[in-house]
Amino acid sequence: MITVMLVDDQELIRIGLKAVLSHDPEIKVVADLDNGLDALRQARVWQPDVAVVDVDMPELSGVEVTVRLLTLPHPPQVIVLSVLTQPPWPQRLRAAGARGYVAKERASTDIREAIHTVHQGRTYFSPTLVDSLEAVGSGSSSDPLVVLSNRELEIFTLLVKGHPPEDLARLLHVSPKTIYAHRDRIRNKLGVRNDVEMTHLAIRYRLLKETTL
Amino acid sequence: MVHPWVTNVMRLGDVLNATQALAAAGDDPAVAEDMVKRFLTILATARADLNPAEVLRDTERFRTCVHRLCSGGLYLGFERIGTAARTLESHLTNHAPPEETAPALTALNEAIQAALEPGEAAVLAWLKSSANSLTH
Repeated sequence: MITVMLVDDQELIRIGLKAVLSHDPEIKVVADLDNGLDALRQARVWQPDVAVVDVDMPELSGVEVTVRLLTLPHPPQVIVLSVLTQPPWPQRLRAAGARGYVAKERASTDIREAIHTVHQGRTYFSPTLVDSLEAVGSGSSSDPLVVLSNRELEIFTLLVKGHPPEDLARLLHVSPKTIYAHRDRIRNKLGVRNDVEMTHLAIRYRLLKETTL
Repeated sequence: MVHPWVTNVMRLGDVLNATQALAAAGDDPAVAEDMVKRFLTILATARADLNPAEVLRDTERFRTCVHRLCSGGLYLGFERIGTAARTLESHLTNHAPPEETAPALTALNEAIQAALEPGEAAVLAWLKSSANSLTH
């Protein structure tokens, strides 16, 4: 049995996905949540095999939820579900550690196969996303954030949300010195000089909404 | 002369891809009906919010509303609404000038109007007849 957690702020879509997945005797939906914070809490409780996560949600973006789910002691395989099928989103989520990416308009036909595929340790991307992903393969992606590792993306996201490095160190169970080292490396990779420029980059590439500042 | 029934079916077919709606509900007509009803309610509310003044008043709230129409529309088979909302959302995200955003907003409002005009009963009847034809 594959246990699955659904995270989407639209109830309509959660209802539909549950109905679609109910036909598969090997899949059990153990939790469905409408926001990323609850998803992180419930993932600790249920320890699902697979998390299906929407990209664009209030409070925590799908990128942040993905990165943080993967730091849990029993991390699920993450499948992203989104209408955002053009670069930089598929590349960014793949860089963040997502094993699958399903276009929302194909969700009802693709989701079961996607869940089985990532549960077997392989990756799944909706066929309509192939061109978008090839853009990365050829090095033509315009998203500078894809150069960051999962850990760097996690720290970048938390820093631009205003968490002081000392708080981050406590949150991630590392020393402040480690956080400063990560921050310097992130700045070097992105070619920015300070937190303000990092924040501008985060807004420009939609990792951060202006209203969350 | 085209029979009015045919015209009506063509119009409803433009509003909702019933095959997609059923698939989105796990091929369960009752779930599909519930989902379509919910989306029509969302549309009725959104129509009041989708005007140029609202963009200026609260851009993020406006964008969230557009995103939900895009997301729900594409998933459920309200393809015209989903596509129009995706175009508008892209303009908003890229801070496009008003002369580009305005036609996209008009297109979305027209798509919403087209979906609401036949009335809930007609859309649900279309869904039901499509479900019957798929199962027989």
